[in-house]
Amino acid sequence: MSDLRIGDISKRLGLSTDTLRYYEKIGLLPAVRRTASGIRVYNDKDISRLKFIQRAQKMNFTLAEIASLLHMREDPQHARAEVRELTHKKLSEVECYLQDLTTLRNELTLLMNLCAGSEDGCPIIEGIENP
Amino acid sequence: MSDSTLDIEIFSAPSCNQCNKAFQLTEMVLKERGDISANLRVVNVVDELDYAVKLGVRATPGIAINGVLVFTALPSKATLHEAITLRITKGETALPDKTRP
Repeated sequence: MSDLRIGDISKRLGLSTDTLRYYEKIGLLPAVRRTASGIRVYNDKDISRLKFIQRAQKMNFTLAEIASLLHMREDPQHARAEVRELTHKKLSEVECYLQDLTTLRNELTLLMNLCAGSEDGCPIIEGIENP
Repeated sequence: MSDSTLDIEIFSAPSCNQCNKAFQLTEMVLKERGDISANLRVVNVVDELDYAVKLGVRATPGIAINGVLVFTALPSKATLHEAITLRITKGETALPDKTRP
């Protein structure tokens, strides 16, 4: 992928340009390369890092936690003990979340199949009303 | 009569025509054998969604024997007969009540 400017990244990832600048300011993103005229140019590594930040934010990780995880991501072999511990803790959270998602997917699959096979309306509503 | 007692659960849903057939078929197989003691239960998946999903039910009808989902669609009579016979031959018995909801 060719280098992208801040407006392109903003559109692609759905992050505001202010947010992108802020991430750089607080060090979540290392200083982004700039053109001679001072325009920020994001490379693949920057984009990968931003996607990681987005995913972690969806899991409600704080920016401070994400910063630690990014250290781990950069250099896992030399990560400090507390960063390794945090990463382990967050991995457990992700696995729990994933298990919940899997159960939800299975429930919805069953309800959808019931819906498809039903002649008298859809039992999805009944299933949701009787948790 | 065999010493074994099987737990057979038919996972069913309202308006599922095949589900009733699954129940009738199971009853018929048990009656024909005549030597099996079985706890036959119809599980409404809408009422017991968590339990159904836990056992792997993704569509109805489903048939579980001793807490294990064996059929994910209406089986033939011969296949159901075979599955029941297999479990009796292996000496499987009904699970303790605590494993069920």
